[in-house]
Amino acid sequence: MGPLLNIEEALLVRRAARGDLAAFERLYRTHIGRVYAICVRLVADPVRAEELAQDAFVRAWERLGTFQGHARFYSWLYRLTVNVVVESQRSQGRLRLHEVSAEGEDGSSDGVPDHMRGDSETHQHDPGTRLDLERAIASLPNGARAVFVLHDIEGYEHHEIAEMTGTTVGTSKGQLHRARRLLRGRLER
Amino acid sequence: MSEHPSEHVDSYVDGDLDGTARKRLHAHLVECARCRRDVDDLRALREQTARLPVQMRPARDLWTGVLSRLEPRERRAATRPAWRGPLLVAAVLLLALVGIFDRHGVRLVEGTNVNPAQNADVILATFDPAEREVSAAAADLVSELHRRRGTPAAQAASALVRNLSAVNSAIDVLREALQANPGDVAIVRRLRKEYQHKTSLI
Repeated sequence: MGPLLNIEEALLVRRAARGDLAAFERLYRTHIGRVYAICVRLVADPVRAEELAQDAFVRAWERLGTFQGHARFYSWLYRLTVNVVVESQRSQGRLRLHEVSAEGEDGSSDGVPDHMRGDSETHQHDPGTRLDLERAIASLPNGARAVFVLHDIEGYEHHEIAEMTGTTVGTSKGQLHRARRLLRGRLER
Repeated sequence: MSEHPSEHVDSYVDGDLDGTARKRLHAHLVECARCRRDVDDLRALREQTARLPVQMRPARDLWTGVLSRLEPRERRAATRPAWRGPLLVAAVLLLALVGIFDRHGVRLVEGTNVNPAQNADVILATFDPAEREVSAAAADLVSELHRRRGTPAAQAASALVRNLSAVNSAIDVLREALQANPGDVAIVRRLRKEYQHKTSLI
């Protein structure tokens, strides 16, 4: 399914907000790839990521009426997805950004799931290197991984990350520095 | 500035250092090979990260799970009536049988008769004959499908109903978009593509 035109997406959002399930399914089909990618990179667990991606769309359905349309729908949806993941991680004690522990001590994951492959249409460059990087990201401690994914992959600024994760700009910068240092070390091995 | 200000190097690479700090770090980099290597490594990591795909496919389709958890809205004004899906598939199947799409739909959606500069109503009207003709005959086919319910043919038709319902929803949205933005070539192209998709489903 190709990208939606701006007006097409706006109309789909309006219809979905009025209860049109077909319109909402089309929004889902358009954005599930990005939403799932955010979830699986943040939690490094494909099964949990599937649950969280579903949670994100259910919450989007519930809150579509609050979407004002000042921003693009996708940026609203992706931020909502991050919030869903962060809340879940926090409630399970898996996200402690303030703790800058020694390497791997705060619950890092081992390796990346086998199916963690991007759409071949969107990426065909050097798949070996890319999977090495995906595995290295998945193996980061939770806090460092969260900030790295949000800043370096999703493009959020430190002040936005601080707001979303309930921490400070300084902590976000510290975790990013730590994540990059760990990644460089792991990719050099 | 410390001997090797590695956190400042991160900010430098990200373009987040202000003028004074940036100048000081720049001066440090001239003297320090280790920090220059850090800058190169960080830039390489950023480039590698930028090439990661932004989308990933989950191992299974999650829509059914999402759908089962959606609470209906109080007002369902925009939702299609339940009878409309079977009606649409019946309409399109009949369309294929009698070749109406050959005479109207395909020729029109191929674009020979569509001029984006025309008024939106005129453009939309070029897609209408096929839709109108099949709608008139659709009721009979719906009855026939109903009579054959439970058969493989009816089950196949049910899958088609779902796919065509999605296409028709997309067409509805695009028609509304064209009404709001007459002359938008991108919308006309998308509309044409959706009609082509509709014929390919058949």
